[in-house]
Amino acid sequence: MKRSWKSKVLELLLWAMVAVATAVVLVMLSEEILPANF
Amino acid sequence: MQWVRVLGKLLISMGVGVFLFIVWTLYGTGIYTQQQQQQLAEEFDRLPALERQTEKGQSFPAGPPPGYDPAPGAPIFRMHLPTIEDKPMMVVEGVGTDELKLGPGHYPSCRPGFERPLCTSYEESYPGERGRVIVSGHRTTYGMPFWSLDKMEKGDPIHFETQWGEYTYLVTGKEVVPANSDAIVVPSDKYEVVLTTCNPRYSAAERLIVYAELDMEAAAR
Repeated sequence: MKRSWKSKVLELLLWAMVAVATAVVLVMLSEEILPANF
Repeated sequence: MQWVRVLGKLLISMGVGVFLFIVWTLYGTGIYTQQQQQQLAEEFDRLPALERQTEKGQSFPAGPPPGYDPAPGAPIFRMHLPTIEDKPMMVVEGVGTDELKLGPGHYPSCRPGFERPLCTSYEESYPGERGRVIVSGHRTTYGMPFWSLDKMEKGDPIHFETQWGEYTYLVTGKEVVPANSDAIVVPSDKYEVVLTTCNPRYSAAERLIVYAELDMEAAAR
C-alpha cells in the first residue's frame, strides 16, 4: 500500500523530534557525563 | 519485519541526537560564553580604578588594595595571550563549573562563595602581587579559551589589565601532569602566573600547565 506524502512527512517529524529529544536529554545530563573543565 | 525497520529508524534518530549534542558541546557552548564575555567586558570597563598596593619599601610591582574581595563570577582582569589568541579575554573569579562557563577562572582562596576543593587554603594572589596567580580555562568547550595553550613557548608574553594596573608576564615553561594532580595549587614566593587546562584536546585525562613570571622591567616602567 502506497503511503501519502503527509504520512511520510509526519513520520519524518516524529524521528526529528526523537533526535532533538535525545540531544536535549544529553545536554541536561552533560554536567554529569562530561568531565569538569573539559 | 516491521519492528526491525522501526528500531533502525529509532537508532538513526538517536544517533542524530548524539551528533547534535556533540555539535552543541563543542560549538554551541561557545556562543553562550561569547555573549557572557561581552557583558563581562562591559561590566569590567565600568569598574573604578583601584589604588595599587605595593610591598613595604617597594614602588613596584603592585597588587589590589586590602579588602579586594570579588564575588564568584565577577570579572577581575583582562588577559591576553597574543601568541595564540587574537583578542583578550575576561577572567572571572572562581573555577567552579558555572564560573568556567563564563570564561577562564581565577583560583580563589576559600571564603564564602568558594568551597573546597576549588579554592586555596592560603591567600590568593592577583596579577602584580607576589605569589602564584592560577588561571584555569576550558580547552574544547565554552569558547575554547585555552585551545592552543600547548603552542605557548618560553618567552611568550601574557598581558594582564587589572583595576590597579597593567602587567606582562613571560612564559618560563610548561608541563603535563595527571588530571588529579594538585601540585600547582601551592603558595609561591615568586611573582608568577600558572595557566592550566585539560590535555590533550577532547580529553580530561591530563592537565596542561604553563608557567610564567612577571616581566619586572616592564612592571618598573
